[in-house]
Formats: sequence, C-alpha cells, structure tokens
Amino acid sequence: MRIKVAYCILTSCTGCKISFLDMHEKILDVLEKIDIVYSQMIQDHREVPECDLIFVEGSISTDEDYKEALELRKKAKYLVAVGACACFGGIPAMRNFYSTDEILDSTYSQKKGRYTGPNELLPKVKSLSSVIDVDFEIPGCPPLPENFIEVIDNYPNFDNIKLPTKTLCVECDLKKEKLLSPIREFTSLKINDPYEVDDTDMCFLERGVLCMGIATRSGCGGRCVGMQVPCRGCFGPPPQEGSEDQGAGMISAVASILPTGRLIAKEDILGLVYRYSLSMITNLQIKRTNEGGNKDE
Amino acid sequence: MKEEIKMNNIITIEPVSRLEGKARITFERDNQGEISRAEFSVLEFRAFEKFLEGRMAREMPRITPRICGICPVSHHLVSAKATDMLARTVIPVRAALHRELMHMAQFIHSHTLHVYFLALPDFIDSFKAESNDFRLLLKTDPDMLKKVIRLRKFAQYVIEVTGGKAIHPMSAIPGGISKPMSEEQRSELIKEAKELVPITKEILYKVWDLLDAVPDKLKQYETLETHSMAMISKNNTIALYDGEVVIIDKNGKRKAGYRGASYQKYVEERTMEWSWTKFPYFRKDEGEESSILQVGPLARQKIYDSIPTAIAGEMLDKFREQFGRYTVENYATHYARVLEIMYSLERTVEILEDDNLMNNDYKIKNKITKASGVGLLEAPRGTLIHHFESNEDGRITNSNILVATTFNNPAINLALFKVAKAQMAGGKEIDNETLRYIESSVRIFDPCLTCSSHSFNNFTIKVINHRGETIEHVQERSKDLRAT
Ligand code: SF4
Ligand code: SF4
Ligand code: SF4
Repeated sequence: MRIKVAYCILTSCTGCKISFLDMHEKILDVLEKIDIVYSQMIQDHREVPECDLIFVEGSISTDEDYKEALELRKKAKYLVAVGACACFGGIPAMRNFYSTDEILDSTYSQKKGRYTGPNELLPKVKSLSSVIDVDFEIPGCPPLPENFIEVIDNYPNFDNIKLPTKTLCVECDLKKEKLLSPIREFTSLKINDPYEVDDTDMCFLERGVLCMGIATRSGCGGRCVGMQVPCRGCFGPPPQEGSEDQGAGMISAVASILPTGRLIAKEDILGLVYRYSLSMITNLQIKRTNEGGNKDE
Repeated sequence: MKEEIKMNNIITIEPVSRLEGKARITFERDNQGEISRAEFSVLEFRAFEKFLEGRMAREMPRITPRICGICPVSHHLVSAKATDMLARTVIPVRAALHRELMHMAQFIHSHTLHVYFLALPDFIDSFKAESNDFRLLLKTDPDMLKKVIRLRKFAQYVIEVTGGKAIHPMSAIPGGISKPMSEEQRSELIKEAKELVPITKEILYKVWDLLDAVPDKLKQYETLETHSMAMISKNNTIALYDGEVVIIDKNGKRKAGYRGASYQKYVEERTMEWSWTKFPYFRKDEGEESSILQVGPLARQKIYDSIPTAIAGEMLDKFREQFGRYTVENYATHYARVLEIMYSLERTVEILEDDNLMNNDYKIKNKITKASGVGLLEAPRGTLIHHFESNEDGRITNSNILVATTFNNPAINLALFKVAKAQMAGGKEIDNETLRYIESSVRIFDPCLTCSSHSFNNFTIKVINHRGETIEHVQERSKDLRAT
C-alpha cells in the first residue's frame, strides 16, 4: 500500500516545496512508496482528500491560512510541519513588528484606512505548530531534501528519525579557541560587520562578528559558515525545553563573549536574533528599533 | 450596481493549479451570460517592504530571497547589486562572473521546472485528461524525464557550489562574494556542464517538436499588443545579469532605456482612483501614450538582437523564422523560454572556462552608510528591481521591490479576460477543456505569486491597451462578493 501524501502550502515562498523536488532522481524511488494525491504546484487536483500524510509548508498569516490549517489537520492521519515558517513563523513573522494597519496604510498610502484585500491579515503571523498539533517538524529555511525522505521512510514512526539537536557550533568547521575556554574574556573588543573581517578559519564570534550558530539548532551542516558567511539562525532554536526563545538564547550566549553594549546600539538586534522565530515570543511587547538606532552606548 | 450582481453570476476557480503560489480566478457574467469581468487574485501577502525597514542593509541579500523559493537567486543577486551601490563599490570581475554563473544555473532550474513540470503536461495529454502532471512523462518518455532531472540537479548543484545553498543562497555580499570556488569544484562542474550540452539540446528540441505538434486550436492564446521591457547588453545581445533595461513598443520601436533609479521616470506604479491596487505601468512623457508592459522570455526575445552562443543562437533563428521577432502570439513564450535554457547552459560553460573566475580579488570591503541603491536584473520571469535607501548606520530606511509577475499582471488579467470571454460566450459553463484553456492562458506567463509581494493582494485593475484606451473597466469588489 502506498502512502497517500498531500503537499499543502500556506503563506510561504514555496522554497520548501522546491527542496522536496530537489530529491532529484530519488523522487522516482519515493514515488514507488507514495501516492501524491494533492500538490497544487505540480498537479491539477482542487481538493485535498483525506490522506495518510500531509506535509504543510508556510506560516499562518491570513484567516484563510488559519481555516485551512484546521481543515488539513482533520484530513490528515499524520501531519508534518515543513520549514522555518511552519515550525516557528519564519521570516514573514517579521511583520509582527508592526500592526496590520501600519502595514496596509504604508503599502496603500493612497488608500489609507480603506484597503482590505482578498482575505484578512491576522494581527500577528503564527507558526503552524502553534495553531494545530503537528506530528513531526522538519526545521530549516528550507529543510534538506533528505529530511523529506526520512519522514517518508519512517512513516508513521517519526520517533525513529533522529534529527540533530545540539547547536550549530557542533557542526561548524571553523576553529574555536576562546569560545571553548572555561573562563571567557571578551573574545573581541569590537563588533564587526561580517564583510569587513578577513577570511580566516576562525569562528565568527571570535572575529567579532555576530553569528547565530551558537543559538541555532544544528542540522544544516553549517552551510553559511562554510561559505564564510555567519549563520542567521534558519534552523530555529535547539529543541530542548527552555530554549524556545532563540533571541534570548543568543543574547545570553554572546553576553560573555562580545561587548554587548555596542551591539545594542549599532546592530539591528531584533531583526537578527528573531529573524526566523519572532512569532515564538508571543505576548512580548517589542520595542521598535527601526527609527533612529543611533543611540550611544 | 453592486446590488444587481447575482451570486450565481460569479464563477470562481480556486486554487489555480500548476502555478507557483496560491491564486483565485473570479469571473462575472452579465445578464446576457457574457463574461463582463475577470480577476486574478493573489492570495498571500507578506509585507516584505514594510519589515525590511530598519534592518541592516547588508542583510538584504540574506532576507529578500525568502520572497520566492523558486527564484531566490534573483532576489539574492539583485539585492546584492543594490547593496553594492549602497557600499559605493564596483565589484571585481571575478565576483561578477561568480554571481552570473549562479544566475545562469537558476535560469536552467527555474525554466526547466516550468517547462517540464508545470506547462508541458498540457501538451502531452492534450487538454482532455482528468489530471495532468509530470508523472505523465514517466509513462510517455521516461528517458526524457531522467535527463530533465539530471539537468535540474546540475543547475541546483551549481547554485549550491556558488551560493552555498541551492535554495536561499548567501554568498553574494555587498562588494562581491564571500567565497570563490575551488579548482576541484570548477573542473567537476565543467565536466558535467559539457556532457549536458548535447543532452540538453536533444531534450529541448524534443519539447520544440511537442510544442509544434499541439493542435492549432490549442495554440491560440490571446494575442496581446503591449510594450515589452527587458535588459540588453552593450552590443544588443541577450543580457540577463547586467545591462541596460529597454522598453519597446509592439513594433519594436525603442521607447525608453534606464540603468538605475531613473526607472522611476518610466515605470510608474499608479494607484488609480478607481482601483485599490497599485500597479506598474509604462509612462513616456506628459501627454504621450502609456501602455501596459510585458516582461519575461518573449519580451526579452523581442528586445535582444541576437544570442551569442552557438546552439541557442541557432534556436533563435529557428524561432524567428517560425514566429517573427515581434510576434503577438503568446504561445511563442514557451519557445522563447526553451531557448533561454540552452543559452544559460552554454553561458555556464563559457563562464566556467573563463580564468577570471579563478583569479584576483573577489570582494571589496566598504561600509554602508547613507546612500541609495538600485539593483536591476532579469529574473527568469522578467525584469526585477530592488531599490533601497540606507542611513548613516547602514540601516534600510526605504525599500521598493518591483517583481516580474507584478509587471506582467495587467497583461495576465487582460489575457484572462479575453480567453474567458471567448471560451465562455453565450453562458457556456466551464468544463474541463475550458478550464485548461483558462489556466494555461495564465500559466504561459509562468506567474510567480509568492514573488508578487509588492502590488500583491488583489490585482483588480482597469486594463488599458497599447493605445492607452480602456479595454476593461473593473469595479471595486465588495466584501460580501469576496466571500463567494
Ligand atoms: S521556511 Fe523558508 S523556504 Fe520554507 S516557505 Fe518559509 S521562507 Fe520559504
Ligand atoms: S558561533 Fe558561528 S562561527 Fe562560531 S563556532 Fe558557532 S557556528 Fe561556527
Ligand atoms: S548556517 Fe545557519 S542560517 Fe545558514 S543554513 Fe545553517 S542554520 Fe540556516
């Protein structure tokens, strides 16, 4: 019996879907095991039928997303949240810095206060996982193609899938010296722009560059750091209890490493530490830093 | 007016299938049963331009790719180009080649996805089958499917090598690239690229034949006489990464050209008093005619004189023999897309063989302060513009993102209206065949709805023809109408 699979999309960029297709030739083997019964992008079906497994990509941004999420939960025996948007809100949740009125008014300046739209924007973007129960989550923006294969191979015993759970620093090949010493001094007295430091094989934090790796779940293999670019946290916080707040994790992690006073003054700290997981910190009054930002230390 | 609209005069199709993103089509019939209104609504909105404000300008190439997972490279690179300007740098040749290589690979991936996975099923099983998807290829031509997969895999791998990740790359930074490729990687890529040239030629000509073989009746998409806009090189050859953006009229007469912020002079985003949606639009000078624009493979083909690579050049000759350069037949878009796949692969080989790819500097370090920067690029679906302003701290204070699908949107709506009017005349109900007609008339544009984050939401518009006359006047929709 082939597994009946649907691939559904809420508010998203379809990048996760492309990652699914990036199984390349392996997709032919996967098609032996599954029957794709719904996928709007590559097929013509208009209705999601009841099925064994539904992959859902994207965040909850509109009333339609919300209703659809509830519907899909009913139709799926098992439902897997795919990607940063579904697991923890992802980049679109950065709109949570603003109210919907502010957003609509600035985009439709000539229609101030009058513009609505074909569906209703919810006040805050939420992750799929915070709205319905999901049976498994594959994080990342986007997740790796192998992750989809693992889910299908292990269906329905998702517990057997062992995704990495430590922080990205474990996977990162860059050299850590001061970072590992028990008594940490400030490893750098300056906060640097990522692209003004020389390319070396030293850890970014030790070069004075903010790298989210220290507060980010491992699993990507250290793609960005391997490319001489600091991590921005797309695999979200590590899954351990108590570390859901990726931003707080980052700030406390760097407090002993970098002169954080400078950081607050010069860096767009919220847009960095909560780039992918702003929707996880609900009920938190976010102080806006976009105007000005030129305060002294 | 609104009260008169009977609910059963409204026809909706949702979701529109084999498109990148979510959309709804709404038609309205008048009391005679004729189609009086057609709307193509994009159902998602992510407010990028709003939340980009306040972010560090250098992070733009890392955030904007999330606008679209199908062409993240375009957003990555065009943002990088805009931030190069914010940092007041001209990037080294090595970095430019590296970026262009990534870009070529994305053209291959994105066009291949469209041609073989989204559009081609329409032509293989005609318009009759219950469901058409790429698995049809498994039955009709498994060998071709395997070759297509190999080509796409190569393309995504090139992006991974040059960009760090196949989806949402991060190597383009203000002032250059973060890391060049190694000699081993280069030779590995050259080998596969060269092997793929004849294979790709073969599968592309196969598609060409399949496209030719489609019954004439099904080829008659709506003819649209509009202006075209695309980038062009100094020698008037095809240019996808860098060049001047040119606007021509339907006969090929040059109307305008721009390189940077002067796009604002020609490309206007109007908010019409009768419409709630802004949309891009060509404006010449006071009093002269305005026109809707088309961008993408067919528009590019009309604008470049030639393609400098051997096989794609040959395909272009064949194309022009078959259709003529300034064809109004939208069906020709498929062919124009096919020959761009070939060009991109041939250009990939050229870049990989260029020693400038391996030598000298690849980045210039410069801080971003108060500045304004405009990035221009041909994305697979057409001209893409990112315009940023930054402050002393290097933060974004203002952003404007104009994507290809938005440029094409008036044309999409116009095509949709025309096809529906013709196909559903005299109160004819939608059947499977009509539906295929309707959807493929939209699909030919390869619209990317996740991309159209700018003028997004509801593309309800007044449609104006190339002479500036109103062809269709669309009214605001009331809330309860939307609920149907
Ligand atoms: S997680 Fe990333 S790749 Fe997936 S939909 Fe969201 S933005 Fe796109
Ligand atoms: S902080 Fe970043 S650069 Fe340093 S070890 Fe961790 S992941 Fe690597
Ligand atoms: S290095 Fe960080 S930002 Fe880059 S892919 Fe990995 S988790 Fe995502």
